[in-house]
Amino acid sequence: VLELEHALARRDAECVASCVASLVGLGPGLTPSGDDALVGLLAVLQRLAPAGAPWLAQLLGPVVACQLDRTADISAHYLRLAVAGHVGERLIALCDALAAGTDDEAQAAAADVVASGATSGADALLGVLSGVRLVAATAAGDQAVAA
Amino acid sequence: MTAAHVVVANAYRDSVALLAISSKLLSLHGISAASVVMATPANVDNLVDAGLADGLTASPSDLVVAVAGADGAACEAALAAAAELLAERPADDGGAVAEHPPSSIQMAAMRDPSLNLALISVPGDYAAAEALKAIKLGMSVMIFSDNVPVQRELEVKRAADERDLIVMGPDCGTAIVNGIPLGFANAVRRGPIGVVGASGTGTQEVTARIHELGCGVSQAIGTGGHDLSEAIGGISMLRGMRWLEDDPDTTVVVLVSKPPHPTVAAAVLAQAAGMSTPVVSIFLGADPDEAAGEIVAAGNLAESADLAVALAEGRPAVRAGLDVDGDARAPLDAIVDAATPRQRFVRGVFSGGTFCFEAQLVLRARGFEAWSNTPVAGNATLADIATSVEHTIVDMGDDGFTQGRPHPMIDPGLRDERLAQEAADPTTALLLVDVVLGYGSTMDPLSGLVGVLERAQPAAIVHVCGTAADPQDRASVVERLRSCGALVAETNAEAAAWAAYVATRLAAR
Repeated sequence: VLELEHALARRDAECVASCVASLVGLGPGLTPSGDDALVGLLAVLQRLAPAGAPWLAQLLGPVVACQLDRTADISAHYLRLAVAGHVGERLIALCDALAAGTDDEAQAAAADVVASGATSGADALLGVLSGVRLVAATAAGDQAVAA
Repeated sequence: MTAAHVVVANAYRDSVALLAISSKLLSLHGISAASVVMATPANVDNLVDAGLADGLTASPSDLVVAVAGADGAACEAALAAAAELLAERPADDGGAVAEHPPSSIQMAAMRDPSLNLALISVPGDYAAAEALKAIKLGMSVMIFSDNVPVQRELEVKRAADERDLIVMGPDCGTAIVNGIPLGFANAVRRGPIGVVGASGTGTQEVTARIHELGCGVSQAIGTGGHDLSEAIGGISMLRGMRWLEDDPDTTVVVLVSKPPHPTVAAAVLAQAAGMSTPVVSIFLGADPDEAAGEIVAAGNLAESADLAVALAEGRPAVRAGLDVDGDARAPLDAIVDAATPRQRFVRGVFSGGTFCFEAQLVLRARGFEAWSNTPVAGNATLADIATSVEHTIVDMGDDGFTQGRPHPMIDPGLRDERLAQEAADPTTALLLVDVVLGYGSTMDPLSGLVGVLERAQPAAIVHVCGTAADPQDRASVVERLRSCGALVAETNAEAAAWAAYVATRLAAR
């Protein structure tokens, strides 16, 4: 996930593709951990990326969509929806809390996400964390350019 | 060190189950590694890298179980154990692992052809269609949903009637069938009294009272609130009466309703006249002294239970009335003596619609008009349901309060807020409250209410509708209410009669 985050940050499409290929379908669970992390990452990039950086989600989404045959049907369906911008209510609540809520609200929303599934929630949170770092770095970069 | 694996094609288990199976396999003797994962390329690569799955071929929607252990025998044993664990179906709340619950009435009927009652609780627009499906499969129906158009109700009830089936509802909140409470219903022992009720909380008051009097209920059949209108003609009540007449376990029948339309009342009376089973009626708002024919008419809900129990036990059915006698007066006189000159009004805040209705009737019969969001004849409609004036008795379960909110019997929060508002009003002399126990109702009816009552300056009279067998335990609820100063009446009618007594004395000051 960290490798994917770095590849996205430097817009390295080839590396993004290979990271996604190794994440999709990776790990335990009916929705493998790698898929859950990707769902969390996609949710943040789509909902929280600054107006100037839609390219983050645009870079990641299609790559994920190409790799869906590498995971189980149910998980592939979740990923397909996530690429199209649809994720679970708890993830949406977390994104909203991160965007506009207090620290306490964000913490509570994160706890809700972790509480879902056996490990899916925690795996998704890993993706969320990665996404938040990316969004923050991109916003900082924009400010530097503007200055 | 050897490894073995097995592929289960197109197998889905939720993650909790997969992880549980992995850890069980790891705990087996001689097993050093175990993995139960979806056979995605990424996972297969990892398994192959780890030497757990040489030569594995599978598709991403297959499940792979791979183990490594001391010898071949340990591995084989682990795979056999995995197969067994994967085949297991949890007995009860297995979540996603359990058998898929039936997703249609037809599917349920195919699984168990002996089913003969369907409980329908879908939005009103769809309830009639679902009911018709069930009726065509030979099932009687309880329709919990409301907002079913009258024309559709008639259609559904006629279809059922043609097949000797019954439709309980629409808007039927309470029934007890073969001892099983459905919807909002109390834990009531089985016995000789059959109830047919058009009112949910009315049926709860009658059945709970029967239990508290030591008797029991054979069946409590709901009809929904519109059944006794001219348009529907009492189809469900008449059928319910016939069924109870034919039921060898039923020796007395109680009918619970607001007054039927005159043509329907005539049909009900005619049917009662032809029955060998005695019939007690409580038609709220009708004068019991004007009752005709074979029906034993009661003056209030609880009294209908008293009369029915007397009949079931071979005693004469004598109406007791609602006089506030000597013993009951002392605490009520104390309320009057403690009231400031400004404290003049009774404020009733109800969660049970029929309790609100009956309380208004009792006060009305003693000369007190009250404002309400659901006024009885002779009472006036509140201009603003959020603001009480003079004597006010509100039904917090009515649509005006419950839009987008749970019913106060499920979540008493709004009811408690309203009580706090009334308690803060310096003109409030007395709070009149119902607490409805039983299945369907909140398990915590008191925490908000007690907070209000402990702070409340005005006194409170509370009626608790429930039985000792209810999950909320009536005795401890009553004790808690008394401990914070509330007067607890035995019945809703008694609570209202007490309130009327206080109001009479306050008015005479």
